[in-house]
Amino acid sequence: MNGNSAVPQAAGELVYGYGNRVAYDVDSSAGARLDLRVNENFLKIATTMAVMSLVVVCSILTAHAADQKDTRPSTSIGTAHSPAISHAWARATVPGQAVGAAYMKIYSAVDTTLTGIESDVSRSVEVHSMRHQNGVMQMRAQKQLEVPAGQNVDLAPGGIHLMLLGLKKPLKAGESLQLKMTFVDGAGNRTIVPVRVPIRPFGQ
Amino acid sequence: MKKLYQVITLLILAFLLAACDKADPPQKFSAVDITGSPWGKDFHLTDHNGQARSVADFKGKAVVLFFGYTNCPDMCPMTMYKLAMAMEKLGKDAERVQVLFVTLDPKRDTPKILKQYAPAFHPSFLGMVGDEQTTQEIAKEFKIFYQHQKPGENGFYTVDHMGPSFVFDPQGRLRLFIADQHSADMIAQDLRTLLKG
Repeated sequence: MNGNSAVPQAAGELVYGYGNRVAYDVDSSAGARLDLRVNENFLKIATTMAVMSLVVVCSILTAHAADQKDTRPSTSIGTAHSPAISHAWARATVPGQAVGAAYMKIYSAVDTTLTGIESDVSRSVEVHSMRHQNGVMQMRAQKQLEVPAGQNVDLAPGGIHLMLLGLKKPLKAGESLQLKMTFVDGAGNRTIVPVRVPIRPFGQ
Repeated sequence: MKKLYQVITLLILAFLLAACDKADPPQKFSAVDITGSPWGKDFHLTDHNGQARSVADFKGKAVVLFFGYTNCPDMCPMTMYKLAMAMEKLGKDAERVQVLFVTLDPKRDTPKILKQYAPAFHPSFLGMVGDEQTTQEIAKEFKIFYQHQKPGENGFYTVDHMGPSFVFDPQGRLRLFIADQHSADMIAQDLRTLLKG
């Protein structure tokens, strides 16, 4: 007994928007076969639209980022695969203060490690962790900072921060400093990300 | 000894009863009232102009004592800034308040550095320094834990420390303990209350 006999055999072609065609062929023995042919014009239109919407999204994001900060956005991206640094800022310092602190968010699509930092305003830069324990503030230097894939690593007051050691001059609110941050991913690829860090006044 | 316990228990009971009488007595200060504490009686330090100072030198003024070090990037400058804000809020009363920044790192924080640092927050602020032993003694007197960490390859070291400030009233008695969570507004209000006597 042939159970498929109830299914009518059919073949044909459907045409829909942009001249795309779907050819179908329903066969009782072979099952259904679909053949999708996409019109070349559609591809062009779709690509253009995708690019346009990306541009719109990017400009909205950039404008949004600019809104949130006191000064220009400090996001720096070296290459397509390099970690993205956002919301970077440093606190102004007073004369006699030999150190400063910089804060930011670091995001990377792949596991990576921050291995070195240079700045144009200090002798050296270190990653420091900070914690309060039983009312005691403890600050420790870390050799490097792991940045797990897909996570924002937050460098913020009271937590991990970049210590600018041996300031050449006080950090003045309204000005900015430059960092060169070196990241090495699991495959050993080294990326140097330049970051512009706006200096904020006390109390902000 | 047993008698002592009994006395203490009685005192506590008496205190509780008294507290019941006045339903919700208004808190006089936002900061912790440590009036009558047996420690923190005095200090003997050198200000950033090289002058020897103790509590008695500031009679007639409320004195705020804050312990820190200038290589501290976050908590110390933020506390100094908070104290400066409190001074601003005090207006003319600020003339009767003296803020003293006591370094826990006398090796690096020389009077010369302190003279730049402390007045940068408020022109009236004074940086205070003692030698290693004096620093240890004053920290002990005010129950401030601090510990110098081992220097890194570049010679830089951090200092673990506690971050409260202490306030003496214009008569030179230790009165208040200010913690991190106390705002500039609270500090200004407390200082005003102290100045009124």
